Amino acid sequence: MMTYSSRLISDPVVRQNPVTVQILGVCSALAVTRTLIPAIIMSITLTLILVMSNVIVSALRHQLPHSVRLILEMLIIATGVTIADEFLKAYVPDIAATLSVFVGLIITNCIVLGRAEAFAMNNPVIPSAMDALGQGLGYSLILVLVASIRELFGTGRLLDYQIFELVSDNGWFSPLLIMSLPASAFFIVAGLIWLSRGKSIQPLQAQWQFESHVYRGKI
Amino acid sequence: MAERKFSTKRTIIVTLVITTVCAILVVAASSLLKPRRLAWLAIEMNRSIVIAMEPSFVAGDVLTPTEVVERFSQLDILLIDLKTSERSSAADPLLYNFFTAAENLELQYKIPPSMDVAGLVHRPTLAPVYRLYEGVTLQRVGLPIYGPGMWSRIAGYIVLEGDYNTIANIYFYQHGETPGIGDQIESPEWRKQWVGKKIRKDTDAYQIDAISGATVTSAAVILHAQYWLGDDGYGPYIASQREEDR
Repeated sequence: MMTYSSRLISDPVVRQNPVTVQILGVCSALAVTRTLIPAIIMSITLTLILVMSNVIVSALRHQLPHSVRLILEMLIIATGVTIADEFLKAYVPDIAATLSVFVGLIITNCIVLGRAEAFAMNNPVIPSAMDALGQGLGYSLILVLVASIRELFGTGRLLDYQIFELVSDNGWFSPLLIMSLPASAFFIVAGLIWLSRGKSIQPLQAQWQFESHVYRGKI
Repeated sequence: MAERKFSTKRTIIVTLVITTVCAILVVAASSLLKPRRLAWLAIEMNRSIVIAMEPSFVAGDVLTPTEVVERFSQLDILLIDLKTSERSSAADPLLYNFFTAAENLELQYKIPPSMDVAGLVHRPTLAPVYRLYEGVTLQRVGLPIYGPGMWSRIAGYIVLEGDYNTIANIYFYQHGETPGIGDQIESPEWRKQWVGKKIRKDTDAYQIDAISGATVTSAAVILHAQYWLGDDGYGPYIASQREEDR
């Protein structure tokens, strides 16, 4: 049996994925997945911010006054996001332009506030960091999957490599235009949700409640 | 975990401390990274003139920032007073931003209504002229232009051949016209029509087809060109340069 700390990381990646099972952070999963590079940068940014916010909120959890804790959590997240946005604009302006408002919108990404409020407020720093890492990886997995499918079938390319030879270059593949449109992300995310939830939706929910109870008690 | 009660005083102090620390962090990050951000902005602005000056570029050609800086440094930039066609030393030509000046009323001149074919009302008194030399021969001259389109300000460049008479390229730097219709002014097919047209009145008159469905946008661009190449725009400067050539 896996230890609790390793389950903290591995669980959210597939079994309790924040996007497909908890249906959080879907907005950006739809918006920045036309090509792979912005999706990867977005994933890294979100994971870093998630870890940062969980660690800080967890470290301050005994100091945060209960009555204003949500606002303070938001403030901490917003600070991290703003700084990350500044760095992206200064070092990778092209990608920052593609991501446009979606970096700023990490502030309102439900995964970040959700984990700060539900996990970091009640757990020590190390488990909080691992929980954040796991949730971040789960989000990243979906983003990279969706972006890979969309880029591959929308352009025949992945990153800088031409995977499918295009008809215009005497190949066989003609790009599926719908993959470049936002609508395709809906279908792909819906497909992934269907795959990951399948028939086992009832047992999963029961287990989720049980496990959040365990996390609170034992760590 | 047991909820702890906080006194109002403590709540306020904790909130103030966290707010202050966050504010300091954001300000520090923003001011430390500002030079880098501004450098990118400057490159972005120069990118458009660099691309405009090279008619052989096709849509989709991407220049790296280094290439932009390299090509931009090859340009000879002259700041002229449009009224007198004289070189002006009122601003540094490298730093003068024509399109920003177009929004600053202090730097502007009111266009007489009879001259104002493109509906600009005001225009900057100073304008940069970008010249590209190969050895000692003048290859091309880039002139920034702008004016109101259907929805937005359309800003771009008209590039002339070294004879100050033939249009070598037209390129748009910024616009907010209807996607899919008005933005056809950016399409290579439409821009190609401009290439080779003569601007001198005594030579063959030029004619550009409007884009069907985007009559307002394309007609607006044609009026901008008429105004900016006319007597109240770069016209006198262009004429004076032709004189010098003779």
